[in-house]
Amino acid sequence: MTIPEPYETDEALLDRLRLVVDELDPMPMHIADGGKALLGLRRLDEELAELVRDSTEEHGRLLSVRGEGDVRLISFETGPVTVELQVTERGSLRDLVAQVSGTAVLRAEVETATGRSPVPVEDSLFSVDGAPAGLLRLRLLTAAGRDLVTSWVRI
Amino acid sequence: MTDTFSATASLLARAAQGDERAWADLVDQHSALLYAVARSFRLDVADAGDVVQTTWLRLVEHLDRIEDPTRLVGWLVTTARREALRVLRRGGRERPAGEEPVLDRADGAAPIDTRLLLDERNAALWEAYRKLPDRCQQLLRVAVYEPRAYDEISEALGMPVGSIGPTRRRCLTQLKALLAGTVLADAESGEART
Repeated sequence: MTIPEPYETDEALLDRLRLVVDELDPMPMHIADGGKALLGLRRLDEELAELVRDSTEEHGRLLSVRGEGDVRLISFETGPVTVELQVTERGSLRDLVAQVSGTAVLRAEVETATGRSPVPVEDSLFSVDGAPAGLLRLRLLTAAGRDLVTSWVRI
Repeated sequence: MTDTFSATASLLARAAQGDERAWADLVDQHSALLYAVARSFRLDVADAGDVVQTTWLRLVEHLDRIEDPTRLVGWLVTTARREALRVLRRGGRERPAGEEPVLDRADGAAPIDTRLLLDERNAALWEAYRKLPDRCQQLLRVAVYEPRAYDEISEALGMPVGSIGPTRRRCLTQLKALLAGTVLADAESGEART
């Protein structure tokens, strides 16, 4: 004896699965609300230096345990300008060293979720000790008078 | 499709001009999809929230660079997947494959309890879904939010259409077979009890 399978189209089945997932694992409301607040972070006149390389993506470290002193290398590019960011983990803090090539840098700022702070630059090189873990981007004023801003990265 | 295209294109264009309302519509339409991508990589709720946020930041950065609005879903899923993998590789929160079901909460909260489900049919569906291979669970978990963009989502999740990997048809066929099995098993055990 077989019990006939109730008739259900693929679409109806997927739709029902969506309802089940939404019930069992609903996305917390604050996540979408947070997303809506981000449009204000849009760059207006600044040029975006795109994230082009992240050492996190290059090593098969899926099963390795994060250790103190791990160094992560992140590169951003726009035109001839390259920004190399080195991130060293120290507990919940991050030590940063950034090197800009392809242009001279007059001013640099580190921007996090909570605000911006200026960083002294010497020979297109600058460093920050003890930045908070989380979102971060760099803002640079170049000698050519261009405002550059890097992609946001979560460090 | 044309409607979807023009609607998405219009929202992107308006958001690029700073229209908060258009941006909010985009976020409302697609956040659950992005959350599903992150959760399908077994990230906990907090990390999944980070992935959704970072993905929306990437779109803010690229609002004026999305060349093909019809591919926005694919672009978003690809971006969220990359961010999810970054979190996994950095965070050491990854669990060995198979140790935990894909959707179990990894944040210390109680595992998802199917008793929460009001409808027995839905509980059976959930049980069947959980028995699917991981890749099918992942694909369906994301695709339920954009059933019409199924092929695009497969590709964005690194499961190219036409490869040997999970396909819509294969995953759904398995799900239906499991579902039929569940129904049958329940009916039998019900008979045995009476």
